[in-house]
Amino acid sequence: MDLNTIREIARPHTRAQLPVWTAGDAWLAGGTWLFSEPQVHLNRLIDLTDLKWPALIVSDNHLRIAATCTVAQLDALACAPDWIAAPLIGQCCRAFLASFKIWKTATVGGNICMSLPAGPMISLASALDGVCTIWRADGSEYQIPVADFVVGNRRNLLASGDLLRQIDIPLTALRRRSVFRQISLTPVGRSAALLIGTLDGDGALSLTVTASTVRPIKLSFADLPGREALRSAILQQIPEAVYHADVHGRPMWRRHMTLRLAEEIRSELAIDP
Amino acid sequence: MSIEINGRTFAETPGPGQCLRTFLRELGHFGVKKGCDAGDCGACTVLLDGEPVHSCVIPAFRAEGRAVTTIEGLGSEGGTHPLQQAFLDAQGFQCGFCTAGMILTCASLNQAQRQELGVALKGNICRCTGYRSIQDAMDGKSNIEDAAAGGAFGRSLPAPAGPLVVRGAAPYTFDIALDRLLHIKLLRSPHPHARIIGIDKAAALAVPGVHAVLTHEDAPKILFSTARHEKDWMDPDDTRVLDDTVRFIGQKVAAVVAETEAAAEEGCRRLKVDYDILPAATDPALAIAPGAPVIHGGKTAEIHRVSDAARNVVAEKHGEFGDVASALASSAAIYEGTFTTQRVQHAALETHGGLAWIDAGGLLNVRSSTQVPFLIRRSLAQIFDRPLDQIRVFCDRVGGGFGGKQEMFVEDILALAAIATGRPVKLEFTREEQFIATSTRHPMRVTVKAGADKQGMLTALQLDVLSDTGAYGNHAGPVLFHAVSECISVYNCPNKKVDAVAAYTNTVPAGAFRGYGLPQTLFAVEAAIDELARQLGIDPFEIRRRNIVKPGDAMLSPPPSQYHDVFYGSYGLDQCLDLVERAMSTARPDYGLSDDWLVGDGVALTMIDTVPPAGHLSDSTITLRDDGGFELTVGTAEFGNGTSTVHRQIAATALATTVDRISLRQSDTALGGHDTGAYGSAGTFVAGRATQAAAEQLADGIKLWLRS
Ligand SMILES: Cc1cc2nc3c(=O)[nH]c(=O)nc-3n(C[C@H](O)[C@H](O)[C@H](O)COP(=O)(O)OP(=O)(O)OC[C@H]3O[C@@H](n4cnc5c(N)ncnc54)[C@H](O)[C@@H]3O)c2cc1C
Ligand code: FES
Ligand code: FES
Repeated sequence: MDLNTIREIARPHTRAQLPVWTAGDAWLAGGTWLFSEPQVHLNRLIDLTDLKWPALIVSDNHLRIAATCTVAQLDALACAPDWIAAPLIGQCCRAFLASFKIWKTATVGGNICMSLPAGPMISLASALDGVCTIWRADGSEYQIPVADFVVGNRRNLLASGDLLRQIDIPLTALRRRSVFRQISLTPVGRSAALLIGTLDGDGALSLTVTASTVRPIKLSFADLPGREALRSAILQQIPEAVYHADVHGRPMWRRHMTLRLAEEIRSELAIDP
Repeated sequence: MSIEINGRTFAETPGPGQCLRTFLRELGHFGVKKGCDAGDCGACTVLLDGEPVHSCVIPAFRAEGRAVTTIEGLGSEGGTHPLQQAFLDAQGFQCGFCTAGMILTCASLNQAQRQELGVALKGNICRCTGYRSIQDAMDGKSNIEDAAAGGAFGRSLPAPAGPLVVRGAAPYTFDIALDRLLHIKLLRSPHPHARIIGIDKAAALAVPGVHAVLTHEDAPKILFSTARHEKDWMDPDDTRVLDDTVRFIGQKVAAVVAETEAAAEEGCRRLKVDYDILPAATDPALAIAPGAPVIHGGKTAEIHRVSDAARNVVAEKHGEFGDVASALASSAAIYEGTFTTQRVQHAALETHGGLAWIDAGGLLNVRSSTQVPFLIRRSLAQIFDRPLDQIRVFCDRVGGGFGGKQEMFVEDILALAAIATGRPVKLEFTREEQFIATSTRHPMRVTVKAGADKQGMLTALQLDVLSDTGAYGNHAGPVLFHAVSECISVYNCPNKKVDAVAAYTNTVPAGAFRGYGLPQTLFAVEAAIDELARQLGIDPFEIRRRNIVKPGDAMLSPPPSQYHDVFYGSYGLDQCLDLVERAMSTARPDYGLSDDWLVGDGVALTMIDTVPPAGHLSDSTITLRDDGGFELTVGTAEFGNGTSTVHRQIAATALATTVDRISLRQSDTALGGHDTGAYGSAGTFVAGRATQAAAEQLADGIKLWLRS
C-alpha cells in the first residue's frame, strides 16, 4: 500500500553513506512487510539495495547469507553434495505463508528482523547455528547467534539504528542429518509449529522449536533421547507462557503439536539412514 | 524516472512511499486491481522484468529502468494471450476482479508449479469460483457450449463481459479517471460507545490540500437504515450519515475531503475529537439483560421501528402452533442442543466505495460498488431532500457482493462530500475498513428442541434464537425472520414454537449475507433431525422423507405469516433426496488417508424461498434496433452472479435469436424504470421474469407487424 507519510528514500551505496539515524527512519529491505501495513510513524526509508551486498558467499567454513539476500535467491542456491541438511533451505522457504511471488523480494534479513514467531528464516538459521553480524549505529559491530537475537514475538536485540549485515552458517551444520516438520491450521497456511532436528556426527541431537513459541528454543541432547526423555525435556524446558497465542493456533494446540512433531523427528532420526 | 509499461516508456516520478500498484493505476493501467493492498490476494499482480510480483508491496521507485507488464500488455499487440483464451474457454472467473492477477500469475508458472496449483496460487485469492474453473483453464478444459437461434436457454454460454475481463478492460467501480477529483478518508471511532462532545477541525483544515472536514454538524439529521429493501419499513431507522454518538469501534466520525488520499489521511490524524465515553455492551445476552447500557435510547417501535430500545431489542418474533412442551414430554425421542455461529465477513475482492459528482445540469451522479443502485438513489433522495430525477446512481462491473453490497455504506458520504465541495469525490475502502466497518453475517445462538414418535414422525420443533445485529439494525429483522422460517416450515410437524430476538450490541453491525440467516439455523435443525434418527435407529434419509412437506402441504412456521405469497412453484424435494442418497451410496473415492483419520458422511436439507418477501420489482425494456439487433435494458447489477448471461439467454430464446444479437445495458438509474436490486436470487427469478415478459411481448409485436 502507499505509505503516505514517507517523505524521503535514502539510497546509500556504502556503510559510510548510511545516514544518521533519526526517529521516523526504517531500513527498507524487500519491503514486503513494510508496504503491507500502514506505517504512519515513519517518514524516511533507508534502502539497502544499493549497498549491493553479495547475496551468498561460500567460504571454507561458512555459508554467508547477506541480510539482503532474497528468499528466492537462497532457495536457488546450488548446494554442495555433502550438505545433507540442504533440503531444509527449500523446506523453510516453502514454510512462508507468502506466495512464491513474495519470495522474489522478501529478504532473509528482513524476515529475521521482523522476528515473527512464524519467521521460517529464523527457524532455518537457528537450526543451523547461524550467527548474525550486527552493524551498530556508532560504526562498531558485533555477532550473536540467531537463536539468541530473536527474543520474542516481534522483538529482537536491535537497538535503533542497528543494521543486520549478514548471517553466517557453519558448513559443519549443513553436513548434519536433519528432519523438518511444520504444521498450520490451513494447508500451506501460516506456520503454527515448525520444528527442526539435526544430528551431528557424534550422535548429539539439536532440536529447534519455532513458530509454536514466541522465540526460537533450542534443546540439546548428547545422544538421541528416548521418547519419554524428549517429552519431559520439552515440557520442562519450554514454559507454557512461551507458547504463542494468535488466530493461527491456540497455545494448547501448539504445545501438543510441538510434542508430536518432536517425537516424529526423534523417531525418524532414530532410524539409520 | 523512466519506466517501461507494456512496451511504452513513462517519465513520471512516483511519490517516495508510493507502491507500484497505485503508480501503475495513476498512469491509466486499471487492470491492476486492489483486493488487500497487503501482499495477500494477488489481484495486483504484474510482471516486473518478466517475473510476477504483487505490485502493492513493491516500492514504485524500484521499477526505475525496468519493464512492467500489466494484464493490458500480456497479449502481443492487443491480441489474446493463450492463457487469456484458456480462461475464456473455461470461464475461469465470476466477478472477474481476481482474474488479471490470476492470469498473470498462471502465465508465469513452470511445469512443476502447475502440478501443484494450490501451492502456486496461494498468493491469489478468488472469492467467487472456488478455483475449480481456474483449474479447468489451466487444464485446457472448455466449459462453454454453443446455442442455435432460439436455443440459448439451458445452455452453458459464456459471460458477455468475458473478453473484457480477461484483458483487464472491464471497468470496475474505481476504474475511471475524473478531472479535479477529491479523495475522502474517514476518521473512525476508537471507542465502542461514546458521545462526541466536540470536534476541533482547525489543524485538519490547515493541512495543504484539505478542502473540507465533514462531521455530524454537517450531516442531515434524518435517520435511515443502511440496509436496502423495496419496503423501507423492513429495517429500523437508526443510522445517520454522521452521528454525534458512536456505537462501535470503527464507526465513522468525520470525513476529510482533500486533493490527495495522503492529505485526507493527514487531515484525519490531525482531527481532535472530544469523546464522552459510555459503557458498552458487546455480548448480545448481556445486552438484553436488565441494567445493560442502552445503545439506541429514545428510539421507538412506532417511529423508528426499533422493537424495544430500552432492552436493546431491535426485532423479535414469538409464536407457537400446538403445544410443544407437552408434545416433547410424551415423545419417544427428544433432542435439545445449543449452537453458536461466529461473525464472518463477505470478503468480496473489490472493497466498498465509489465516486460522486454533480454535473453541469445539477444531476448528482453516484457510481458505486453496489447491488442496489435504485434503492440507493431512493435513500439519497430522502436523506438529502432531493428529487429522484436529480440523482443518478449506477454501477459498472462490481467485484463481488455476497449480500454485503445490499447496503449503503459509502454513497451517503459521497453525496454529502460532492454537495459540500462541488467537486468530484472518491471514497475507496481499505481492506481493514471492510473488516471493521462494513457488515458481517449475524452471529447467532440457536437452541433447538425436537421430538419424534417411534416411527420417526416429528412431534415437536422449537427454535430459540438470539441474533447479534451489532450497533445498527440493518437487516436485523428480516434476517432473523428468515432464520426461523424455511428451516422448520420444510417439515410437517403438529407442534412448532419460535422465540427469536435480535439484539443491539456495541460491535460492528451485521447485515445481509448470502443465505440471509438460514445458514445459521439450518444446521441446528438438521443436527436435531439427525440426532432423532440416530436415537430411533432410523436412516437419516428416511426420517427426512417421512417428515418433509409434500406438494400441497402448508409450509408453516410460527407465528402465522401476514403474507400468503409463498407457494409451490414446482416440487422436487423427494427426488432431490433420492438423488443425493444414490450419489452417496456409490463408492467413495480413495483419498489415501491414514487410519487415524475419522471419515464420516451426513445429509442435511433446507428450503429457501426463491424471492424475497413483501415485494421485489424489476423493469426490463427491450427494443428492436434498426440493424436488427435488440437492446435490452435491465436494472439488475452484475457482480459475478451471471445475470448478464442469463438475461441475454432469456431474451434470445424468446426472440428466437442468438445471444450476440442482444446488447445489454444495466444497473443505471439513468436508463429509467426501477429495480429493487440484485439480491435473494431476484436478478434471475424476478428481473429475469421481467425480461422474459418483455421479450415475449416484443416477439409477439414483431410477428404481428410481419403479418400486417
Ligand atoms: C502475504 C504475506 C505473507 C507473509 N508471510 C510471512 C510468514 O509466513 N512468516 C513471516 O515471518 N513473515 C511473513 N511475511 C512478512 C514479511 O514479508 C517477511 O517477514 C519478509 O521476509 C520480510 O522481508 P523484507 O525484506 O520484505 O522486509 P521489509 O519489509 O523490508 O522489512 C521488515 C522489517 O525489518 C526491518 N529490516 C529489514 N532488513 C533489515 C536489516 N538488514 N537490518 C535491520 N532491520 C531490517 C525493516 O525496517 C522492517 O521493520 C509475509 C508478508 C506477506 C505480504
Ligand atoms: S496482493 Fe496486492 S492488492 Fe492484494
Ligand atoms: S472471480 Fe475471482 S474474486 Fe470474483
